Amino acid sequence: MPPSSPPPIDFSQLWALSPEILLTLWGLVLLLVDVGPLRGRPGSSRRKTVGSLALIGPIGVFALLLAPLVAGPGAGGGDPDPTLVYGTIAGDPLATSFNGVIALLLAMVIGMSMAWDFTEHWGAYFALLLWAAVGMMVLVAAEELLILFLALELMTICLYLAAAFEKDKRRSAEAGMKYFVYGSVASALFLFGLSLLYGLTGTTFLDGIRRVLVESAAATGEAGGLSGDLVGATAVLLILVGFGFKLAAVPFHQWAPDTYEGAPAPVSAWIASGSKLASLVALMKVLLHALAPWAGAVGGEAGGGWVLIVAAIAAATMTYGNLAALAQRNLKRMLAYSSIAHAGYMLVGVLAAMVTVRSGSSAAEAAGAVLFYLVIYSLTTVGAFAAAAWLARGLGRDDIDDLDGLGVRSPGLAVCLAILMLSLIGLPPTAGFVSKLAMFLEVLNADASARSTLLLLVALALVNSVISAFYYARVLRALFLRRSDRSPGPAPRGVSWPIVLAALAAVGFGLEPAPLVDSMRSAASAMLTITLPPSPPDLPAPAPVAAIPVSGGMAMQK
Amino acid sequence: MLPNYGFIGLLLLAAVAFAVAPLVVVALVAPRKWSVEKGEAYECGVRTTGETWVRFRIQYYVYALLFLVFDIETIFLYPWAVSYLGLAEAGFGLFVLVEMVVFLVLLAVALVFAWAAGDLRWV
Repeated sequence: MPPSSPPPIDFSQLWALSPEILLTLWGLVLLLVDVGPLRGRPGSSRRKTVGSLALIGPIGVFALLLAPLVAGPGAGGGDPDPTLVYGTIAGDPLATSFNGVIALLLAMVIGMSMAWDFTEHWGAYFALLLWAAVGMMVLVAAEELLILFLALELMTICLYLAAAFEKDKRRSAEAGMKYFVYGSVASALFLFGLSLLYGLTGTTFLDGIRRVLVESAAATGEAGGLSGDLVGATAVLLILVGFGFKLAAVPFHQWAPDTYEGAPAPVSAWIASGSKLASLVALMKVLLHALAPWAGAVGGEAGGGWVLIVAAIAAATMTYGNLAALAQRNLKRMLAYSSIAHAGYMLVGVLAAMVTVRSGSSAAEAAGAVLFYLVIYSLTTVGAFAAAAWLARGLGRDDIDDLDGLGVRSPGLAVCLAILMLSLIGLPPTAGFVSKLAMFLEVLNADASARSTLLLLVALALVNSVISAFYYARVLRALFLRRSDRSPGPAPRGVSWPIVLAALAAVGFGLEPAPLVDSMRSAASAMLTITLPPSPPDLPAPAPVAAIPVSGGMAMQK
Repeated sequence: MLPNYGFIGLLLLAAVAFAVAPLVVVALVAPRKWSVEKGEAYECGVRTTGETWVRFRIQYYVYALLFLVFDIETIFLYPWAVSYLGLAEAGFGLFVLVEMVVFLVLLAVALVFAWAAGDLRWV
């Protein structure tokens, strides 16, 4: 950065980043503890010790998040500055609340990892889980394209490695390899899209991009959208490839079933919940905030934009995910297709949020409904993957048939799993129902020109939910209607508490969703209204070289 | 916009021509005489022993990775040291120093980890 002005860096801002810093350092400690004091101990004893130590990480994050609440406003945390570190990272309610969610998911994943011995390198394994969480936290808070990309890479590189951690299983190596190859290509395309975006706007700040696009739309007098802007359309497409890969949206989903099935169950859970959660928040930030002027119209007569592309992706994703899930026998593979389908539902919510953002009425409500859905989906999915960890520990395999008879042997956990399946289908009184309802009801608030298209998407989503009931019900049938001689044995504590916690969340937020809905709504409004100061001293004016493509792009539009 | 990308296009053409030209020249003028020795695998001039398709120990890769880490460290330290005085005059001194210390500590932990895990012992 050009040292044109005295550094405005303020070390007290680091307080807002303390969860990330804590988890980074704690990962280093775990690495050293595993090879230092615990050297030479058998694997299962190190698994328990290092795993229990790793749990201190998310617990510490909770303590840091709760400290300002306990100490009272103004103490320690200072005022909630929306933009930190030269405006690249947000310290808004969105980042704070999602730090809490990510820490909770991390704790559940660590718990599941302590269920059985699938590797020898426990220090490195738990450190990778923690560092992936750091990447997710920064990704949720990123307000600038480079930070966003770095966080995305930090998260996925840790997950590539973790997916291949079950070294004596070929499927695990295959999972890591496929994830890595697909992921690196998607990242390269994503980065290319970001560079095009920078070339067109001359800035990498999300709010700066929005401002440039709004100004250029005002200058040309067009309503917005991408018609005729070939470079802009390419940039949007490439960015959607990157996000589509992380969300496992069709047609960028092929890695997901193999990776989820081959990777150890806790890692699959972490990819399906944390990675998807953080990526979708980043997608919403980029699309709903920075690229909102390029959204285009849904109705059809005006110029096209990314809304139409995302609508096509959403429709294809939920239909394909549900139809493919019907044929699956493996629990993790079934959950992989289910997570693909849920990505499709969430993209419908993103569209609804976009259209309402444009009409200006209830922007935060719609985006908040998507965030609510996202949190509920992540919690229930981690709970469902914990069942796979249980089977892998007891039987060394995780087919749906292996759940046979668990309703008799461990009725409590079976009921909890049934609740999770009902929540994933979206049946009342679970949170899955409330979140789906909240998200799809927002479509009714969309402006009239867009409503017919969106209603079509919602109808498709409802048909898909009915289809999905079939394969989730196969889990219920295995649990309660079948008998089997083989039993995975009693569930270890690391598996049972994530399942129980997820089921409690599914029922609790199903009966009383208001607190979570409200906090997600305030998080969403913080996300959508975040602005840089009009002329920040540290943000240099766009260089003349970078400004040339802007005029070129507008000339192409004419 | 076009003139700017035009330069990149010219550079691209020049680069491709630079790479292809020697190949074309060689293909046109070089004599071709085949012999058994020329068909053998090249091992720094030493006569090849055993199969060429041997498996390498995974330790080679660990060493290569560790070397790469410290290679990158040097690459990063050098421009930092060169520009440090200028940055310090502009008032960034402490900030830049802390950044570098953080980077070095992270690398040091990586080295300690590799050492303690026994990756530096050749077995």
